Amino acid sequence: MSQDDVLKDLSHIRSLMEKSTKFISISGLSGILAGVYTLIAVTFVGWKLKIHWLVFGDSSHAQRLFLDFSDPLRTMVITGVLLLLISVATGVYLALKKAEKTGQAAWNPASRILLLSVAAPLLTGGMIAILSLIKGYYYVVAPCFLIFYGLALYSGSHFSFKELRVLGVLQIILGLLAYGYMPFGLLFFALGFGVLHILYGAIIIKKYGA
Amino acid sequence: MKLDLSLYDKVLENRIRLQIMSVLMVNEAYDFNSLKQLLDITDGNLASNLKSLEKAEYIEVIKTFVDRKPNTRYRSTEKGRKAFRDHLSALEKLISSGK
Repeated sequence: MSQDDVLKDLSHIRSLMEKSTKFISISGLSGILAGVYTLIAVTFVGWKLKIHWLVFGDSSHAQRLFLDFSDPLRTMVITGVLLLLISVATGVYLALKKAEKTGQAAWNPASRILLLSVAAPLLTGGMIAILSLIKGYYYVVAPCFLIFYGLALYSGSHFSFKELRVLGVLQIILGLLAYGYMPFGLLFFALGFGVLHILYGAIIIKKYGA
Repeated sequence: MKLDLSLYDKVLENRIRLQIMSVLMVNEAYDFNSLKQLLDITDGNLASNLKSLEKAEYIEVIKTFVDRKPNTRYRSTEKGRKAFRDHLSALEKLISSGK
């Protein structure tokens, strides 16, 4: 066995170890699209509920505005659920397509473990969001969504692009800020789920291709 | 210079078997079909190499049922992991000896 053969084998082993444990078929484009959907959704909610995000009053003013709407809850919940469904569907569809192109099976042990690792924080966050809505703590929903989504990305990053970890931490930070400045939860949501996703998607495309 | 090949492993000399072991080193367990897809080899080729690894006691077979369909998964044993590490050290020596 020649040295070149050995070197080739070793680099092959390394890539196998990587490929078998990491799901890298997440599409950068789906990040950009999710971000764009979010900005559209937030703009829609803002327009529908007449929230003037660019005109910051003091927080009590914003709070009063917020509570004045006839049925802000339904608008927000329907928009939010639709946004999540469409974003997830886009993400799954593009991941399937990307997996087909790169020859990595979409449903493999790596994607299974990735799903398992994001499921716990996501489900916990989802339950808290639902409970908060039922109990009427509407302000908590956006911050808690960002925080738990960030935690999910953070733990999922071990089984996918390492860039997900940075995205996760940033989402958590935005979530905590949103918690501190609750009346502006929607704005932080637009920054986190919207702007950060677009930036992240662009970075992934630049680094790893669409 | 005489090469120390005491760590060199005959079972892992085969490229497919080395690849299977490398996957099982970093995963708790891996199933037959996923392995096949990952290594891009035929059923027969994979099965026979898994058999030799099993015979050497480098891997163990876990048979379960998913929706009544048999689902065969493989896991590396302590003996197998040691053999893999040793074999890699041997390969490293082989490379550095040529420099």
